[in-house]
Amino acid sequence: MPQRHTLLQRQIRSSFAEPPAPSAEWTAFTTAVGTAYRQFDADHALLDRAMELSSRELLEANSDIRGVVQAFPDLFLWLTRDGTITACRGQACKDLVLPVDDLIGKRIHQGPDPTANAQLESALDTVNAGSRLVTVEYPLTIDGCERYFEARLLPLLEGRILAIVRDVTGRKANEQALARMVATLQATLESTTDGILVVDAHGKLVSFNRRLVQLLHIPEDVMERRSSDNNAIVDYVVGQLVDPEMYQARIREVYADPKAESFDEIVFIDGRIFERYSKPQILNDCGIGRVWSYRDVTGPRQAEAALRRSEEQLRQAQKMEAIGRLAGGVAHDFNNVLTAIIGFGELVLAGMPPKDPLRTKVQYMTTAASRGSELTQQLLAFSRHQVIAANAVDISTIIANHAPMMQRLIGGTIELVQRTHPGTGLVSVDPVKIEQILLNLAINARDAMPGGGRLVIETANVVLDEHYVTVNPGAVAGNYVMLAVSDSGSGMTREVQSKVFEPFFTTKEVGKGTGLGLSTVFGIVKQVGGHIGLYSEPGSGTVFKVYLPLASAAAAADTANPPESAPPRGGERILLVEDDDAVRLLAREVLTQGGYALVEASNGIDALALAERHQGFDLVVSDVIMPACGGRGLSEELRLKWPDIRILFMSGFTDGAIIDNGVLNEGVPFIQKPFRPDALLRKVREVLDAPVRGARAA
Amino acid sequence: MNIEQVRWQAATGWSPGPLGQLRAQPQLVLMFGGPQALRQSGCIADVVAAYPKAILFGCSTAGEIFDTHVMDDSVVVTAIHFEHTRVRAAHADIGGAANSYAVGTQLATSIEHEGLRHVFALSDGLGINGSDFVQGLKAFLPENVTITGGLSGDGARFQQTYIIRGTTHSSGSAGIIGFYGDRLTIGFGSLGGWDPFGPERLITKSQGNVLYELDGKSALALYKEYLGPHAAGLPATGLLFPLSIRGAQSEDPVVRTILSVDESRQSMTFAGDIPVGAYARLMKANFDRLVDGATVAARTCATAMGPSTAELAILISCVGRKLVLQQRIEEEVEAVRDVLGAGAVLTGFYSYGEISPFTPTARCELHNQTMTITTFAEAA
Repeated sequence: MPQRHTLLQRQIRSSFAEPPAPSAEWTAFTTAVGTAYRQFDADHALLDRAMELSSRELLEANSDIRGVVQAFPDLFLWLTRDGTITACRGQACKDLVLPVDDLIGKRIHQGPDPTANAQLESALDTVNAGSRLVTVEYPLTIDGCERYFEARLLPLLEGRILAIVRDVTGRKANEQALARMVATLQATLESTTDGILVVDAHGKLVSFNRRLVQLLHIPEDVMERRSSDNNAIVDYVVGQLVDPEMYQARIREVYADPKAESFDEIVFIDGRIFERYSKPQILNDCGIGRVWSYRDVTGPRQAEAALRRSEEQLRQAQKMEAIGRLAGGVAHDFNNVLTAIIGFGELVLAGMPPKDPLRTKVQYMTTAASRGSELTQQLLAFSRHQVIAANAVDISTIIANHAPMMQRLIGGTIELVQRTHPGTGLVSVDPVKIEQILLNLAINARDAMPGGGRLVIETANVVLDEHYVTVNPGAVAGNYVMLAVSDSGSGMTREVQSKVFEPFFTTKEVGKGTGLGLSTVFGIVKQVGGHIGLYSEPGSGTVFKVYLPLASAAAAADTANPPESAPPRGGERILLVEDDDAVRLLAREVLTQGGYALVEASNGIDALALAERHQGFDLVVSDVIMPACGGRGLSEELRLKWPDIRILFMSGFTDGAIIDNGVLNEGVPFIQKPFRPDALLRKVREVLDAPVRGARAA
Repeated sequence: MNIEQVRWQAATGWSPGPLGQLRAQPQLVLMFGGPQALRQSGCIADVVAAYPKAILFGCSTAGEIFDTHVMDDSVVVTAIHFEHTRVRAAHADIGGAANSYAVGTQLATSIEHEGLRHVFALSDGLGINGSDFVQGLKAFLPENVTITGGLSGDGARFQQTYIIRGTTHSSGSAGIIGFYGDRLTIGFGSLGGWDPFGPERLITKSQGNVLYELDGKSALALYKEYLGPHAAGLPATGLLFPLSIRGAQSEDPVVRTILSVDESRQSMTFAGDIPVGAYARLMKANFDRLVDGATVAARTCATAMGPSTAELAILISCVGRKLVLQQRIEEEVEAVRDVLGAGAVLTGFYSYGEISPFTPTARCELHNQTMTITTFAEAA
C-alpha cells in the first residue's frame, strides 16, 4: 500500500485527535483523496516544467530578436492597426528626420513627405486587409539630400504590425547603375548581327536577342514562353538540321563541363550554315550559365565553295591545255613520220606491178600508218590542232539522221530517247565532228549501263550568262546550242570526273578502249569555242552538256564539197622548202610525178637564196616551223620582192594553231601533214589556179 | 420521443433492469462500450435480440457516459423511439487513412438526401485522417444538413477501436445515421477550454496528419522534453499537450491531439491535418477551464434548440480531458446536465476526435480536446 500523501497525513492529524478505526470505507476514502493529491502534484510539476521550458524558449526567442535588431542596419517600428508607432528599436534611428522619442505615438504615415505618407498609408491598408507582408519604397529629403527608404510592413498577432525601415539609397544607386548596364548590354545584344542566347546553369532560358529568332526561324511564341528551357529551342532547331545528332551531342558535351568552351559549324537542311560558339559565364570559379552565339556564314561559305570550284576548274582547264599542247606536239612530229611512210608507201604501190608479191606487205604498211594517222588526228582534235571544216549545221537534224545507227551502237537493252528542240539554232561545226561527239558520248553512256538503261539526247538554245562564266572558268558568255547526253548508268566519282577528258584515261579493261573518246569530244568542243559540262553522281547516272556557239549569219551559207576526181597535174615551177628530209623527198617525188618543175631547199635562208638565183617561181610550198628562218619569215622576205607570189604552207599543226600562235595570218593557203600525194597535188593545183589577190601577209 | 437507457457492467450485468422494456419499438439504438466489453460480453447479441428491428449504431470508447456517470469497460445502450422522425444508416470500410476523404464521400452519397436534416457520424479512431473524413462528408451532403459525431476510442491504449454496425463490431470502418423529419429539433455545440502557451512554432515538415518537424526540429523530441518523465507514457501522455494549429492567414485555431508515435521515423500521428506552413502552439489544461468549456458547449446547444427542451443529448468528449480531469471527470458531464436540465437523457463516450461546428453558424470540423454535444427534441 502506498504511503499516504503528506498533506492528507497532516489533515488527518489536525482533524482527528485519534485516527479513525480502519474500515473499508475509510481506506477507500483516504486512498481516493491521496490519489487526487498526487495527481494534483504531478499535474503541477508537469505544468511547472512546461512553464519553465516555455519561458526559456521565449527568453531565447527574445534574445534572438534583440540580436537581429542589433545586427541589421534597420529601424524596427511596432504599429497599431492605424499606423500609430508604439515602440521603436534599431540601429538606424539616426537616419530619421525625427528623434526616436518623438516617433512614439505618431502615425507612420504622417511624416514630412506627402509622397512617402501616401505610400505608407496604402501599405497599411493592404496589410490590414490581406494579413500579408507588404514592401514599399519611398524617397525622403534629409539635410537637403534625397535618400531612399524601404519599409516592410509585416502583420503580427492581435492586429499589431511590425515595420522594418531600411535606408536603401546605396542599393538604389547600384540598381540604377545596374539598370544602365543592362540597357547597354541589351542594346549591344540587339545591335550585333550574331544571334545570342543566354541560359543559366540549368539550361533555362535567361535572355536572347531578336537576331537569334530570325536566324533560327523560331516562332515568337516559342521564345516568349520564357519559362521554357533551352531544350524547347533545341527541339525546334534540330528539326531543321542536316545532322541533328551532332548538334545535340555537342550540347551534351558542353553542359557536362560547366567551364567548357566550344565552337562548331552547323548546317541546315535549307542550306544555311552557322558558326556556333559557346562560352561559359564564370563567377567565383563556378559556371553560372552559358552564352551561345550563332553567326550566319552561309554567304562566305558559299563564296569559298564557289571559289574552290572555280580554282579546281581552272586547274583542270590548265591541265587539259598542257596535255593538249603535249599531245599536239607529239602528233606533229608523228605526222612528219607518217607523211613519209604513207606517201612513199603509196608511191611504191603506184609503181608496183599489180601482182608484185611485196604489194600486200606495202599495203599493210600504209594501212597501219593510216591507222596511226587516225590516232594523231584524234590527238590533234583533243589539242584543238585539227582542221575543222566549219559549216552551219542543225544538230537536231544530225541527231535524227544518226538515231538508228546510235540505237544499234548502244544495243537493245538501252532505250534511246530524243528530246530535240525544233527551234534549235545552227552551229558552225563540221557535221563529222558533231557525229564524233555524239558517237563518243553514246559509247561512253553505253559502257556505263552494262545492264541496260536509258540514254537521253536533248538539244536546246541556251544563254550562258556572266554568273555561269564566273563559276565555270573557260566558258564564254553568249548564245549556245546545248547538246545534252544523259544516261542512267553507274555514274562517276569526283576523282574520275576530274580525269575523264584526259587522253588515254579510261576506266575500262585494258584493250577495251583507247581512252581518246571523251578527250576527242573535249578537243572538238574547245576548238569550236564551245564549253562542256559534266554532272554525275555515283549510282545516279551522268549528264554531259555540250555547249556549241550559235552560228553567225555568214557562216550559215553552206558549201558543198566538190566531187572526188583524179589528182590534177601541172607544169609550173615550184620552190619546195622543208627541213624534214623524208617529207621533202616525198613532196619532191609527188610534185615531180605531177609534172611540176621543182627546186628544193631545207630551210628559209637557203630558199631565199634559191629564189634570188632562179627567179620566177609560180609557187612556193613551204613548211611553217623550221630552224633559222621559218615559213612566215620566208614568205615576208619573198613578198618584199615578189608581192604576187603564191605560197602554200605545210605543217603538222593545224592552220588554226599556227594562226593562233601568230605564225600565219588567217586565209593563208595551208595543207596539214600528214597528207596523201593526191591531196598535195589537189592543193597545189587549187593554189595555182586561184586568182592572185594581191599581196597577202603569211 | 421515447428513450430507454440501460448499462452493462461486468460486476452487475444489465442495470437498472433488463433490455427491451421500452413499450414502443425503437428505430435507433445507440451503443457505446469499452473495447474489452464489446469483444467479450455478448452485449451486442443481447441488444440485437432485444431490439431486432432497430438500427444498432455505436462504437468503442475511452470511457462511457451514462447520465452523469463516466465509466470504463462498461456498455451503455440508449434505445430511441421517434414518433415523427425517420432514421437511415450507412456504413463503409476505410481501407487505410489515405482513403479517408473517399470514405466520407462514399457515405455521404449512399444515404438519401431528400428530407435529410442531420447526420451523426462515427469512425474508427486510429486508421483514419478525421479532417479528410469530415471534408468528404461535407463535400457531398446538402449544405443545410448539419454534421456531428466522433472517432471511436480504445481507452488510453491507442491500439484498436471498433464501430458497431448491424449485429457486430469491426475495426477499420465508419458509418453515419441520417435523421429525417420536420418535427425534429437539433442542437449542437463544442468547446475545449484548453489554453495555448509558449512560443508559436512553424510546422516545417508534415504529411497529412503525420507531424515530423516544428521550426525545423523534431516534434517528437520537443514533446519528450516537455513531458519529462511522462514521455514514457506516450502516446497517451501526449494528450496532456495538444497542439493549437493556426493557419498562416490567422484563421481560428483548431486543436489537434496525438494518436500515435513512430520512434523509427521520429513522427507523431494526430487525429487531423497538421499542414506545413501553419503555426502550432502547445496547449495546457486547467480543471476549471475544461469544465467551463463543457458548460459553454451545453449553453450553445440549448440556445440552438430555442424553445425546445432537449430530450436526448449525445456527449462526445475527448480522452485527453479524461486524462487530465481523472477523478473530476464527471464534473464536466454534471455541468452539461446543469444546463440541459433533468429532462434530457445523457449518453455518449470519450473519443479520439470530435466532429462538429464550434457553433451552429460555424463550419463543421474535426476537433480534439473538446466536449461536443448534440441534442435532439421532437415536437409533439
